[in-house]
Amino acid sequence: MISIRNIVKKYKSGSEEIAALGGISAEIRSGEFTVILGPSGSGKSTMLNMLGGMDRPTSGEILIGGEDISALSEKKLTDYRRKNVGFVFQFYNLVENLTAYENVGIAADLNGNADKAAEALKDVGLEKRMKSFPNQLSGGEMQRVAIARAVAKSPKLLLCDEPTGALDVATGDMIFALLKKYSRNKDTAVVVVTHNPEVAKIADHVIRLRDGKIVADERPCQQIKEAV
Amino acid sequence: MTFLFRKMIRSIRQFKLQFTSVLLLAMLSVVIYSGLEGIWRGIEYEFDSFSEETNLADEWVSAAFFTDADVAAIEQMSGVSGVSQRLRITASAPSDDGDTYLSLDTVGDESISSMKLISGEKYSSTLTDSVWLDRDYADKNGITAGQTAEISYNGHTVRPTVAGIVMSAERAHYVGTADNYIPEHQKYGYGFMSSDLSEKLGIQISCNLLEIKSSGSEVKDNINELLGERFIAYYDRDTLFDVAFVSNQAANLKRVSLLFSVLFILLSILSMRTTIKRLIDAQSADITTLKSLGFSNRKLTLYYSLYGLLVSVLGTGLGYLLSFWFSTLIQRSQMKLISLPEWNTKHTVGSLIVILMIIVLSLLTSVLAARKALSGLPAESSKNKVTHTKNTLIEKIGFVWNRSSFGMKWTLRDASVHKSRILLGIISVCGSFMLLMVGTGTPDSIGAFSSKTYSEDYVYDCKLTLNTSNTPEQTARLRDELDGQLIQTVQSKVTLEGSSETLFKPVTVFSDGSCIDLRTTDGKPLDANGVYITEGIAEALGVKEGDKLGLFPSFSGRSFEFTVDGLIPSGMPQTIYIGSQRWTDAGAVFRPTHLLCGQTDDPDSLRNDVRVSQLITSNQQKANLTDFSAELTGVFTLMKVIAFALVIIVLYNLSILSFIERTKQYNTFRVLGFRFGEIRRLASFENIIILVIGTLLGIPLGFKFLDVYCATFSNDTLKIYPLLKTVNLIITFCIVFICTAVTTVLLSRKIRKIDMVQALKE
Repeated sequence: MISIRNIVKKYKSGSEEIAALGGISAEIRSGEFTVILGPSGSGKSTMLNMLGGMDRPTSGEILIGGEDISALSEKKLTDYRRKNVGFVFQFYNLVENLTAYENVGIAADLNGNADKAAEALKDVGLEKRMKSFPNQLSGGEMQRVAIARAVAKSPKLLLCDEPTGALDVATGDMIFALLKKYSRNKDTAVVVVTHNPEVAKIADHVIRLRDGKIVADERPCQQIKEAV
Repeated sequence: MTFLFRKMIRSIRQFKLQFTSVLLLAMLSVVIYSGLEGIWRGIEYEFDSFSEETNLADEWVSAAFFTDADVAAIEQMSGVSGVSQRLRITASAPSDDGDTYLSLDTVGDESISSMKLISGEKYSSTLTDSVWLDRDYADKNGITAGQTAEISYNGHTVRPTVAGIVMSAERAHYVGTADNYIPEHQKYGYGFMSSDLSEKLGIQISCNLLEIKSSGSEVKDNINELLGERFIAYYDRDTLFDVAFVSNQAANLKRVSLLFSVLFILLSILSMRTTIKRLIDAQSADITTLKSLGFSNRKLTLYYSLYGLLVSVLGTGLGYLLSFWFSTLIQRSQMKLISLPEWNTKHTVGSLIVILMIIVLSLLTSVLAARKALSGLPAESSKNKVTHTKNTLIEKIGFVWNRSSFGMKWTLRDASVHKSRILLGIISVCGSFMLLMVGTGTPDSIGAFSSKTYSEDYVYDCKLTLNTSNTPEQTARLRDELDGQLIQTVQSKVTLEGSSETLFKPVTVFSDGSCIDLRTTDGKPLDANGVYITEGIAEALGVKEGDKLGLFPSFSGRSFEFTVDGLIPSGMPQTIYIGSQRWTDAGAVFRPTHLLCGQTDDPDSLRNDVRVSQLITSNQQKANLTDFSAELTGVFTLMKVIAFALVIIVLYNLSILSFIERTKQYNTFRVLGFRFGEIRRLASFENIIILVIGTLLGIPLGFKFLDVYCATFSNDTLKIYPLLKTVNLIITFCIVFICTAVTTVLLSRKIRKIDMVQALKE
């Protein structure tokens, strides 16, 4: 369980102070596919960065497994990301000079799981492309390598920032299907940031942001159950 | 283009570190080439002018005496256009610091090798009781025209008037004794005397030296036969040490200038290439915009090539201006070695050609780097450029590759993609090693030369030049009194089997004694029955152990054949050593010219002994070498400073370039959870590879460069063996290592400061 309590994030832009997040609270559960929706500038990526330990809130708490990660030192945040977080980016962020296998391996090796690299690639259907370099892969293949890299660490939290933003619709659907598959692992919470409302249809949990505030926090399946 | 020009200036400011390093490298290459060119061309020009003005002779022949028939015969030889007869003696003159020595000539035909008047009265054959003394000797001893000098020779003393202060082109590098390396003007000088003084000094002969104007003459081939036993020595402009040194020095400086400047030009070009490529990568969005606005690829290529033009023009321009100062700096050390009436640097179109070459190469490099990157339509520029990586050769070495970490694999592949960056780093590390090893190794080599020559090869307190009028009994008594070792030094014509070339080399005949402790290359001591040759002469003649040498020595009147029994790795003197037993067995006469003395209580007291014409102690000889080494300290310090600057500027520049190129990847690693220390290790791998390869190549290249540099000080009379003490090699490595480490630390600081969130958005 991940609890976000009254998170505020402010940035200085020249002499102005901009509130990227204006006091948000939410809970993200393991085994759920959470989608954070909102228009450009609503604070989606900022929220994701907070969850991933890549940025600190100006105020508020982020509790993961009972521990407030917002209070951690830089060194401890690095360890937190190393052990608990898998990231998938819009533009893949693969290491150019490493093959697909090596891109996954370099991440898995951080936790002593280098042998999981092949398995992770097989899981995403790329067992035949292990020796290919990023420039030899299509966009969809690169994103699948990025996903394999993220899940090879067996993270508690899989964070995806616009993972299909650079892909065509069909490939994007395939990526979401993969991510949804990983969300079924009871130990992993998958959080996807997107501006595409269609994704909400497959989500277990939808958080809608606007101007740095949560305007809706829904669990559609639970609501249906309760309704029934 | 106005707006583009403004953009260019701002971009240069943004990449100021990179462009500054390109500018500095271009500047250094011109400073060194042009600065040294100013010196060596200046030396050549001034010496040529001096030689022409004074009608310097082309050949010199000395003999016990010359007859009119000898002179007539020489004048008749083909190629000879003029002969001047002289009498040359070495006299002594007192000074506040002890005796000084003057090589004095009477002047026959003043039109050949005439003296250049500096102050006082011009030479005239009508003047009597007069001497003209050399400028440097006069300066050091506080002598001016009009004063009275005191000159002694062979027990006679005269007190002539110093009629004038002069200079002679044939004494441009006058060291006074074959045992000195650099001039010692206070102690050794030269001059000219009026002909009446030779009689007053008790000299019986009128001529023992001929100065010959010639071109392609047959004097060299025939002189031994003409003079027979009276022959002492033959020299031409290439072998007369006082003259040859000047042209050799100019040639050496030219060689060094080319060596250094090629290194810096190469670095400058590589640096320019990596910088332009990086600039274009960083401005890909700008390029897309400009193309969309309608700028053609050709115009943009021209725009980016202007960076190369601007930086290289500025760098070379600054370099040219600084080269005048550099010339002045180097000139000071040359003035202590060479005496010329005028010292002017001479910059020719050669410097401008080098400058033009650097500018053209920079421009070409920029054009080529830009053209490839700018080709295609605007949309192609806007796409994320993916690096086309491929497998490297090292992956085929399974043993190495399979054991490498992912991080090391990443570094090695990145290096194979950015070869010019790696090459630049390796060349700069190699260059640093070369400069540091020469900067520390040359003083080591000169120190070792001094130590070996005066403490191992020769073990004497003082070396006495025997009076030529000594009887054999007087010489023998002197040897017994001082328990010394007699040697005979003569010049000899040398002929080699299978060669028609005529050469003249010194021969040293040694008797029994303990003052010479030379060893052959096999480690064997010299034998009184042996014939040996020092390695410098052996190399020059192409001679090895077992070869036959034909010698026609001075005072012999005939030729002899000897077989070389061994080579001697000795620095000074470069000579052919023959044991006195072998010498006399062959039919030659042993006429000692010097006495080497071991422990002597009061060497200075021997100066007054009538059997001794000159005396030099081994301490004085060591001090002369120390002075020489001290003169070069400034140059060596400069080399070390340049070495520091080279490795720090270039490696730091490369580190920043690689940092910029890898920022996104460093951030990906941070996001993945790499600790800062792990990222720092990845980042420093490249510097470590550069350091390792640079060291493996730099050390042998450094030794080779040291060898070449030491050869610039070697000549016909001495050979300086290159040596670098182990401790200095370690220090050199430590310096390069520390400089590399400093750049890595600076890079680490930059990595620590990356804004992860912002960087991942870009």
